[in-house]
Amino acid sequence: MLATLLVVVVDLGGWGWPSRLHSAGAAVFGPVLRWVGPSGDDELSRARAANVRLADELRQARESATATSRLSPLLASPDLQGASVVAARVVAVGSPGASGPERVTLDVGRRDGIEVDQPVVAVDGLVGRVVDVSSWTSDVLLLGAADLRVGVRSGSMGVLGMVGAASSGAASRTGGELTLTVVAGGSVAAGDALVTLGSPGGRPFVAGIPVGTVARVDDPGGTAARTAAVRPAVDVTELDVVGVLRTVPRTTPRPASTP
Amino acid sequence: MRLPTVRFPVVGLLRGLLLVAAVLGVLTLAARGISPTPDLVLVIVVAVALRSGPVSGAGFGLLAGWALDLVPPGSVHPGLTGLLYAAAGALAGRWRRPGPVGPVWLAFVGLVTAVATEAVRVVADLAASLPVDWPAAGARTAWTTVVAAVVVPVVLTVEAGLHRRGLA
Repeated sequence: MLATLLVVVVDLGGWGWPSRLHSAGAAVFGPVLRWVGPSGDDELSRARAANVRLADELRQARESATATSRLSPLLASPDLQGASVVAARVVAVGSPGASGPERVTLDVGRRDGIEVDQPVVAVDGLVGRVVDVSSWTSDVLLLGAADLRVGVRSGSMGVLGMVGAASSGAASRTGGELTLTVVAGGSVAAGDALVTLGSPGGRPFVAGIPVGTVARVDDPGGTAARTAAVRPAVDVTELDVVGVLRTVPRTTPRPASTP
Repeated sequence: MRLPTVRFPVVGLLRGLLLVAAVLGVLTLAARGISPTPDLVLVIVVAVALRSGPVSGAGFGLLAGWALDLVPPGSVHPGLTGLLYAAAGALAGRWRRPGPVGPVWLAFVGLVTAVATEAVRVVADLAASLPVDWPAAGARTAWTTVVAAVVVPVVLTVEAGLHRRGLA
Protein backbone atom coordinates (compact mmCIF):
# COMPACT_ATOMS: atom_id res chain seq x y z
CA MET A 1 0.00 0.00 0.00
CA LEU A 2 2.83 2.39 0.86
CA ALA A 3 4.59 1.56 -2.39
CA THR A 4 1.38 2.36 -4.29
CA LEU A 5 1.06 5.68 -2.48
CA LEU A 6 4.67 6.44 -3.40
CA VAL A 7 4.00 5.67 -7.08
CA VAL A 8 0.90 7.90 -7.07
CA VAL A 9 2.77 10.80 -5.44
CA VAL A 10 5.69 10.47 -7.86
CA ASP A 11 3.31 10.31 -10.84
CA LEU A 12 1.19 13.27 -9.76
CA GLY A 13 4.39 15.15 -8.97
CA GLY A 14 5.33 14.89 -12.64
CA TRP A 15 8.56 12.87 -12.35
CA GLY A 16 7.19 10.63 -15.04
CA TRP A 17 8.75 7.22 -14.50
CA PRO A 18 5.47 5.55 -13.36
CA SER A 19 4.18 5.99 -16.92
CA ARG A 20 6.83 3.46 -17.98
CA LEU A 21 4.73 0.90 -16.12
CA HIS A 22 2.25 1.21 -18.99
CA SER A 23 4.92 0.12 -21.45
CA ALA A 24 5.73 -2.92 -19.32
CA GLY A 25 2.03 -3.78 -19.03
CA ALA A 26 1.52 -3.37 -22.77
CA ALA A 27 4.48 -5.61 -23.58
CA VAL A 28 3.11 -8.39 -21.38
CA PHE A 29 -0.64 -8.10 -21.90
CA GLY A 30 -0.88 -6.54 -25.36
CA PRO A 31 -0.74 -9.86 -27.27
CA VAL A 32 -3.39 -11.29 -24.91
CA LEU A 33 -5.77 -8.43 -25.67
CA ARG A 34 -5.21 -8.81 -29.43
CA TRP A 35 -6.23 -12.45 -28.99
CA VAL A 36 -9.18 -11.88 -26.65
CA GLY A 37 -10.47 -8.63 -28.17
CA PRO A 38 -12.82 -8.41 -31.16
CA SER A 39 -11.21 -9.58 -34.38
CA GLY A 40 -11.25 -7.47 -37.54
CA ASP A 41 -11.33 -10.25 -40.12
CA ASP A 42 -15.01 -10.07 -41.06
CA GLU A 43 -16.43 -8.25 -44.06
CA LEU A 44 -18.05 -5.52 -41.95
CA SER A 45 -14.72 -4.64 -40.32
CA ARG A 46 -12.96 -4.48 -43.67
CA ALA A 47 -15.69 -2.17 -44.98
CA ARG A 48 -15.38 0.08 -41.93
CA ALA A 49 -11.60 0.22 -42.32
CA ALA A 50 -12.05 1.22 -45.96
CA ASN A 51 -14.49 3.92 -44.83
CA VAL A 52 -11.91 5.38 -42.46
CA ARG A 53 -9.30 5.49 -45.23
CA LEU A 54 -11.72 7.10 -47.69
CA ALA A 55 -12.87 9.65 -45.12
CA ASP A 56 -9.28 10.64 -44.44
CA GLU A 57 -8.50 10.94 -48.16
CA LEU A 58 -11.59 13.15 -48.53
CA ARG A 59 -10.54 15.27 -45.56
CA GLN A 60 -7.05 15.66 -46.97
CA ALA A 61 -8.48 16.65 -50.34
CA ARG A 62 -10.78 19.22 -48.70
CA GLU A 63 -7.96 20.58 -46.56
CA SER A 64 -5.71 20.80 -49.55
CA ALA A 65 -8.46 22.57 -51.52
CA THR A 66 -9.08 25.02 -48.67
CA ALA A 67 -5.39 25.72 -48.32
CA THR A 68 -5.15 26.17 -52.04
CA SER A 69 -8.05 28.58 -52.21
CA ARG A 70 -7.01 30.59 -49.17
CA LEU A 71 -3.29 30.45 -49.03
CA SER A 72 -2.03 29.08 -52.28
CA PRO A 73 0.61 29.58 -53.43
CA LEU A 74 1.84 30.57 -49.95
CA LEU A 75 1.38 27.13 -48.47
CA ALA A 76 1.19 24.30 -50.91
CA SER A 77 1.45 21.49 -48.37
CA PRO A 78 1.11 22.22 -44.65
CA ASP A 79 1.55 18.90 -42.84
CA LEU A 80 -0.22 16.42 -45.00
CA GLN A 81 2.36 15.42 -47.56
CA GLY A 82 3.49 11.84 -47.14
CA ALA A 83 0.92 11.02 -44.42
CA SER A 84 -0.74 7.61 -44.53
CA VAL A 85 -3.54 5.93 -42.59
CA VAL A 86 -3.26 2.65 -40.70
CA ALA A 87 -6.67 1.13 -40.01
CA ALA A 88 -6.96 -0.28 -36.50
CA ARG A 89 -9.55 -1.89 -34.31
CA VAL A 90 -10.28 -0.98 -30.69
CA VAL A 91 -9.56 -4.15 -28.67
CA ALA A 92 -9.86 -2.75 -25.13
CA VAL A 93 -11.52 0.21 -23.46
CA GLY A 94 -10.07 1.47 -20.21
CA SER A 95 -12.01 1.30 -16.98
CA PRO A 96 -14.21 4.38 -17.30
CA GLY A 97 -14.36 7.30 -14.92
CA ALA A 98 -17.62 9.06 -14.17
CA SER A 99 -17.15 11.21 -17.27
CA GLY A 100 -16.50 8.24 -19.58
CA PRO A 101 -13.51 6.33 -20.89
CA GLU A 102 -10.16 8.12 -21.21
CA ARG A 103 -8.00 5.52 -22.94
CA VAL A 104 -8.45 2.72 -25.48
CA THR A 105 -6.09 0.11 -26.89
CA LEU A 106 -5.68 -0.48 -30.65
CA ASP A 107 -4.49 -3.69 -32.30
CA VAL A 108 -1.63 -1.96 -34.11
CA GLY A 109 1.75 -1.13 -32.66
CA ARG A 110 5.38 -0.32 -33.33
CA ARG A 111 5.67 -3.07 -35.94
CA ASP A 112 2.88 -1.35 -37.91
CA GLY A 113 4.74 1.94 -37.92
CA ILE A 114 2.81 3.47 -35.03
CA GLU A 115 4.63 6.03 -32.90
CA VAL A 116 3.78 8.14 -29.88
CA ASP A 117 1.92 11.40 -30.61
CA GLN A 118 0.39 10.29 -33.90
CA PRO A 119 -3.24 11.45 -34.29
CA VAL A 120 -6.10 8.93 -34.31
CA VAL A 121 -9.26 9.59 -36.35
CA ALA A 122 -12.60 7.96 -37.13
CA VAL A 123 -14.84 8.53 -40.12
CA ASP A 124 -16.51 11.52 -38.43
CA GLY A 125 -13.45 13.21 -36.96
CA LEU A 126 -10.81 13.30 -34.24
CA VAL A 127 -10.58 10.46 -31.70
CA GLY A 128 -7.38 11.29 -29.80
CA ARG A 129 -3.65 10.75 -29.93
CA VAL A 130 -1.31 7.81 -29.35
CA VAL A 131 0.37 7.98 -25.94
CA ASP A 132 1.92 4.51 -25.52
CA VAL A 133 3.18 2.02 -28.10
CA SER A 134 4.25 -1.60 -27.71
CA SER A 135 5.23 -4.06 -30.41
CA TRP A 136 1.68 -5.10 -31.25
CA THR A 137 -0.64 -2.63 -29.55
CA SER A 138 -0.92 1.09 -28.90
CA ASP A 139 -2.81 3.09 -26.30
CA VAL A 140 -4.79 6.19 -27.25
CA LEU A 141 -5.68 9.13 -25.01
CA LEU A 142 -9.22 10.05 -26.05
CA LEU A 143 -10.63 13.47 -26.77
CA GLY A 144 -12.57 14.15 -23.56
CA ALA A 145 -9.80 12.94 -21.24
CA ALA A 146 -8.76 15.42 -18.59
CA ASP A 147 -5.19 15.63 -19.91
CA LEU A 148 -5.99 16.27 -23.59
CA ARG A 149 -6.53 19.76 -25.04
CA VAL A 150 -6.68 20.50 -28.75
CA GLY A 151 -6.08 23.74 -30.62
CA VAL A 152 -8.96 24.46 -33.02
CA ARG A 153 -10.25 26.83 -35.66
CA SER A 154 -13.97 27.60 -35.62
CA GLY A 155 -16.50 28.97 -38.05
CA SER A 156 -15.94 30.65 -41.38
CA MET A 157 -13.72 33.31 -39.78
CA GLY A 158 -11.31 30.71 -38.44
CA VAL A 159 -11.47 31.96 -34.84
CA LEU A 160 -8.82 30.22 -32.72
CA GLY A 161 -9.45 28.41 -29.46
CA MET A 162 -8.72 25.38 -27.30
CA VAL A 163 -11.03 22.42 -26.77
CA GLY A 164 -10.83 20.19 -23.70
CA ALA A 165 -13.01 18.27 -21.29
CA ALA A 166 -12.80 20.56 -18.28
CA SER A 167 -15.28 23.40 -18.01
CA SER A 168 -14.69 26.57 -16.08
CA GLY A 169 -16.83 28.35 -13.53
CA ALA A 170 -20.54 27.64 -13.40
CA ALA A 171 -20.85 26.48 -17.03
CA SER A 172 -22.91 23.30 -17.09
CA ARG A 173 -22.06 20.37 -19.33
CA THR A 174 -23.86 17.14 -20.02
CA GLY A 175 -21.97 13.87 -20.26
CA GLY A 176 -19.68 13.72 -23.28
CA GLU A 177 -19.72 17.46 -23.98
CA LEU A 178 -16.44 19.37 -24.34
CA THR A 179 -15.55 22.98 -23.64
CA LEU A 180 -14.21 25.50 -26.17
CA THR A 181 -12.19 28.41 -24.80
CA VAL A 182 -11.92 31.10 -27.45
CA VAL A 183 -8.76 33.14 -27.82
CA ALA A 184 -9.33 36.69 -26.56
CA GLY A 185 -11.22 38.84 -29.02
CA GLY A 186 -12.80 35.99 -30.94
CA SER A 187 -16.45 35.05 -30.99
CA VAL A 188 -18.35 31.90 -31.89
CA ALA A 189 -21.98 30.97 -32.40
CA ALA A 190 -24.02 27.81 -31.93
CA GLY A 191 -23.58 25.55 -34.93
CA ASP A 192 -20.02 26.61 -35.73
CA ALA A 193 -17.90 23.66 -36.81
CA LEU A 194 -14.52 23.16 -35.13
CA VAL A 195 -11.49 21.66 -36.86
CA THR A 196 -7.98 21.02 -35.58
CA LEU A 197 -5.50 23.83 -35.88
CA GLY A 198 -2.61 21.47 -36.53
CA SER A 199 0.80 21.01 -34.93
CA PRO A 200 4.35 21.31 -36.23
CA GLY A 201 5.17 18.12 -38.11
CA GLY A 202 1.57 16.97 -37.86
CA ARG A 203 2.07 15.66 -34.34
CA PRO A 204 0.03 15.30 -32.28
CA PHE A 205 -2.56 16.73 -34.68
CA VAL A 206 -2.69 17.59 -38.36
CA ALA A 207 -4.81 20.52 -39.49
CA GLY A 208 -8.41 20.21 -40.61
CA ILE A 209 -9.71 17.20 -38.67
CA PRO A 210 -13.30 17.78 -37.46
CA VAL A 211 -13.42 18.05 -33.66
CA GLY A 212 -17.04 18.95 -33.02
CA THR A 213 -19.77 21.56 -33.26
CA VAL A 214 -20.56 24.43 -30.92
CA ALA A 215 -23.75 23.45 -29.08
CA ARG A 216 -24.26 26.69 -27.13
CA VAL A 217 -22.23 29.69 -26.06
CA ASP A 218 -21.82 30.21 -22.30
CA ASP A 219 -22.87 33.39 -20.56
CA PRO A 220 -19.58 35.29 -19.94
CA GLY A 221 -20.72 36.21 -16.42
CA GLY A 222 -17.97 38.76 -15.89
CA THR A 223 -15.13 36.49 -16.95
CA ALA A 224 -12.74 37.57 -19.67
CA ALA A 225 -12.60 34.18 -21.42
CA ARG A 226 -15.44 33.33 -23.82
CA THR A 227 -16.38 29.66 -23.60
CA ALA A 228 -18.87 27.37 -25.30
CA ALA A 229 -20.19 23.83 -24.99
CA VAL A 230 -19.04 21.56 -27.81
CA ARG A 231 -20.73 18.43 -29.10
CA PRO A 232 -17.85 16.16 -30.22
CA ALA A 233 -17.78 14.88 -33.80
CA VAL A 234 -17.01 11.34 -32.62
CA ASP A 235 -18.74 9.44 -29.83
CA VAL A 236 -15.74 7.85 -28.12
CA THR A 237 -17.99 5.40 -26.27
CA GLU A 238 -18.91 3.70 -29.55
CA LEU A 239 -15.56 3.31 -31.28
CA ASP A 240 -14.90 0.35 -33.52
CA VAL A 241 -12.56 0.80 -36.48
CA VAL A 242 -10.33 3.88 -36.40
CA GLY A 243 -7.33 5.14 -38.34
CA VAL A 244 -3.90 6.18 -37.09
CA LEU A 245 -2.39 8.96 -39.20
CA ARG A 246 1.27 8.19 -39.81
CA THR A 247 2.43 11.72 -40.27
CA VAL A 248 5.86 12.49 -41.64
CA PRO A 249 7.71 15.46 -40.14
CA ARG A 250 8.57 18.07 -42.77
CA THR A 251 12.20 17.87 -43.86
CA THR A 252 12.28 20.47 -46.62
CA PRO A 253 11.93 24.22 -46.29
CA ARG A 254 8.45 25.60 -47.04
CA PRO A 255 8.49 27.53 -50.33
CA ALA A 256 8.15 31.28 -50.00
CA SER A 257 5.59 33.11 -52.09
CA THR A 258 6.14 36.25 -54.04
CA PRO A 259 3.56 38.92 -54.79
CA MET B 1 9.56 -42.31 6.21
CA ARG B 2 6.49 -40.13 5.81
CA LEU B 3 6.57 -37.41 3.16
CA PRO B 4 5.17 -34.00 4.13
CA THR B 5 1.75 -33.17 2.69
CA VAL B 6 1.84 -30.46 0.03
CA ARG B 7 -1.37 -28.41 -0.03
CA PHE B 8 -2.02 -26.73 -3.32
CA PRO B 9 -3.62 -23.29 -2.82
CA VAL B 10 -6.68 -23.97 -4.94
CA VAL B 11 -8.59 -20.99 -3.52
CA GLY B 12 -5.73 -18.66 -4.42
CA LEU B 13 -5.65 -20.10 -7.93
CA LEU B 14 -9.42 -19.69 -8.24
CA ARG B 15 -9.24 -16.06 -7.15
CA GLY B 16 -6.41 -15.41 -9.59
CA LEU B 17 -8.36 -16.92 -12.48
CA LEU B 18 -11.49 -14.97 -11.54
CA LEU B 19 -9.47 -11.76 -11.42
CA VAL B 20 -7.91 -12.36 -14.84
CA ALA B 21 -11.32 -13.18 -16.33
CA ALA B 22 -12.88 -10.07 -14.73
CA VAL B 23 -10.11 -7.72 -15.92
CA LEU B 24 -10.22 -9.05 -19.48
CA GLY B 25 -14.02 -8.93 -19.39
CA VAL B 26 -14.17 -5.31 -18.23
CA LEU B 27 -11.64 -4.16 -20.85
CA THR B 28 -12.97 -6.09 -23.84
CA LEU B 29 -16.75 -5.99 -23.33
CA ALA B 30 -16.86 -2.25 -24.03
CA ALA B 31 -14.72 -2.81 -27.15
CA ARG B 32 -17.42 -5.23 -28.32
CA GLY B 33 -20.05 -2.49 -28.06
CA ILE B 34 -21.50 -3.55 -24.70
CA SER B 35 -22.00 -0.40 -22.68
CA PRO B 36 -22.30 0.39 -19.84
CA THR B 37 -20.45 -2.65 -18.56
CA PRO B 38 -20.75 -3.88 -14.97
CA ASP B 39 -17.62 -3.51 -12.84
CA LEU B 40 -16.74 -7.22 -12.81
CA VAL B 41 -13.45 -6.58 -11.00
CA LEU B 42 -15.27 -4.89 -8.12
CA VAL B 43 -17.65 -7.87 -7.89
CA ILE B 44 -14.71 -10.26 -7.38
CA VAL B 45 -13.14 -7.91 -4.83
CA VAL B 46 -16.43 -7.84 -2.89
CA ALA B 47 -16.63 -11.65 -2.95
CA VAL B 48 -13.08 -12.06 -1.64
CA ALA B 49 -13.62 -9.40 1.03
CA LEU B 50 -16.85 -11.01 2.26
CA ARG B 51 -15.07 -14.35 2.48
CA SER B 52 -11.77 -13.25 4.03
CA GLY B 53 -12.42 -9.94 5.81
CA PRO B 54 -11.32 -6.33 5.41
CA VAL B 55 -7.54 -6.83 5.46
CA SER B 56 -7.50 -9.54 2.80
CA GLY B 57 -10.19 -7.62 0.90
CA ALA B 58 -8.02 -4.51 0.86
CA GLY B 59 -4.98 -6.50 -0.27
CA PHE B 60 -6.90 -8.24 -3.05
CA GLY B 61 -8.51 -4.94 -4.04
CA LEU B 62 -5.07 -3.33 -4.31
CA LEU B 63 -3.88 -6.17 -6.54
CA ALA B 64 -7.03 -5.99 -8.69
CA GLY B 65 -6.76 -2.22 -9.08
CA TRP B 66 -3.12 -2.48 -10.10
CA ALA B 67 -4.16 -5.03 -12.73
CA LEU B 68 -6.58 -2.47 -14.21
CA ASP B 69 -3.86 0.18 -13.98
CA LEU B 70 -1.33 -1.90 -15.90
CA VAL B 71 -3.24 -4.02 -18.42
CA PRO B 72 -3.61 -1.90 -21.59
CA PRO B 73 -4.94 0.70 -21.98
CA GLY B 74 -4.35 1.16 -18.25
CA SER B 75 -5.20 4.31 -16.37
CA VAL B 76 -3.84 7.81 -16.79
CA HIS B 77 -2.34 7.83 -13.29
CA PRO B 78 -1.07 4.35 -12.23
CA GLY B 79 -1.85 3.37 -8.67
CA LEU B 80 -5.03 5.38 -8.14
CA THR B 81 -7.30 2.51 -9.20
CA GLY B 82 -5.35 0.22 -6.86
CA LEU B 83 -6.00 2.53 -3.93
CA LEU B 84 -9.70 2.88 -4.87
CA TYR B 85 -10.26 -0.87 -5.02
CA ALA B 86 -8.25 -1.43 -1.83
CA ALA B 87 -10.65 0.92 -0.06
CA ALA B 88 -13.60 -0.89 -1.66
CA GLY B 89 -12.24 -4.25 -0.45
CA ALA B 90 -11.78 -2.92 3.07
CA LEU B 91 -15.30 -1.47 3.02
CA ALA B 92 -16.93 -4.69 1.81
CA GLY B 93 -14.88 -6.76 4.27
CA ARG B 94 -16.33 -4.84 7.20
CA TRP B 95 -19.72 -6.43 6.41
CA ARG B 96 -18.39 -9.97 6.64
CA ARG B 97 -20.69 -12.15 8.71
CA PRO B 98 -19.82 -15.57 10.19
CA GLY B 99 -21.97 -18.40 8.89
CA PRO B 100 -24.46 -18.43 6.04
CA VAL B 101 -25.84 -15.09 4.81
CA GLY B 102 -28.81 -14.42 2.59
CA PRO B 103 -28.71 -13.13 -1.00
CA VAL B 104 -30.39 -9.88 0.04
CA TRP B 105 -27.51 -9.09 2.39
CA LEU B 106 -24.96 -9.87 -0.32
CA ALA B 107 -26.82 -7.66 -2.79
CA PHE B 108 -26.90 -4.87 -0.21
CA VAL B 109 -23.12 -5.08 0.30
CA GLY B 110 -22.62 -5.10 -3.46
CA LEU B 111 -24.86 -2.05 -3.82
CA VAL B 112 -23.12 -0.07 -1.08
CA THR B 113 -19.65 -0.88 -2.41
CA ALA B 114 -20.62 -0.08 -6.01
CA VAL B 115 -22.23 3.23 -4.98
CA ALA B 116 -19.22 4.19 -2.85
CA THR B 117 -16.77 3.39 -5.65
CA GLU B 118 -18.77 5.30 -8.24
CA ALA B 119 -19.19 8.21 -5.80
CA VAL B 120 -15.40 8.53 -5.52
CA ARG B 121 -15.13 8.62 -9.33
CA VAL B 122 -17.88 11.25 -9.54
CA VAL B 123 -16.29 13.47 -6.89
CA ALA B 124 -12.87 13.15 -8.56
CA ASP B 125 -14.30 14.17 -11.95
CA LEU B 126 -16.34 17.03 -10.49
CA ALA B 127 -13.23 18.28 -8.69
CA ALA B 128 -11.46 18.34 -12.06
CA SER B 129 -14.45 20.21 -13.63
CA LEU B 130 -15.17 17.25 -15.92
CA PRO B 131 -18.75 16.63 -17.09
CA VAL B 132 -20.23 13.60 -15.32
CA ASP B 133 -22.18 11.15 -17.45
CA TRP B 134 -24.88 10.55 -14.83
CA PRO B 135 -26.99 8.02 -16.79
CA ALA B 136 -23.92 5.89 -17.58
CA ALA B 137 -22.68 6.10 -13.98
CA GLY B 138 -26.10 5.09 -12.66
CA ALA B 139 -26.49 2.23 -15.13
CA ARG B 140 -22.98 0.94 -14.34
CA THR B 141 -23.75 0.97 -10.61
CA ALA B 142 -27.05 -0.86 -11.13
CA TRP B 143 -25.42 -3.48 -13.38
CA THR B 144 -22.61 -4.03 -10.88
CA THR B 145 -25.12 -4.54 -8.08
CA VAL B 146 -27.14 -7.05 -10.10
CA VAL B 147 -24.05 -9.02 -11.15
CA ALA B 148 -22.73 -8.97 -7.56
CA ALA B 149 -26.06 -10.36 -6.31
CA VAL B 150 -25.69 -13.29 -8.72
CA VAL B 151 -21.94 -13.95 -8.76
CA VAL B 152 -20.88 -13.31 -5.15
CA PRO B 153 -23.06 -16.13 -3.65
CA VAL B 154 -21.64 -18.56 -6.24
CA VAL B 155 -18.04 -17.61 -5.44
CA LEU B 156 -18.66 -17.81 -1.68
CA THR B 157 -20.30 -21.25 -2.04
CA VAL B 158 -17.45 -22.61 -4.16
CA GLU B 159 -14.81 -21.25 -1.79
CA ALA B 160 -16.67 -22.67 1.24
CA GLY B 161 -16.75 -26.06 -0.49
CA LEU B 162 -13.02 -25.92 -1.18
CA HIS B 163 -12.42 -24.94 2.44
CA ARG B 164 -14.39 -27.96 3.70
CA ARG B 165 -12.22 -30.21 1.52
CA GLY B 166 -9.09 -28.67 2.97
CA LEU B 167 -8.09 -27.01 -0.28
CA ALA B 168 -8.17 -23.45 1.03
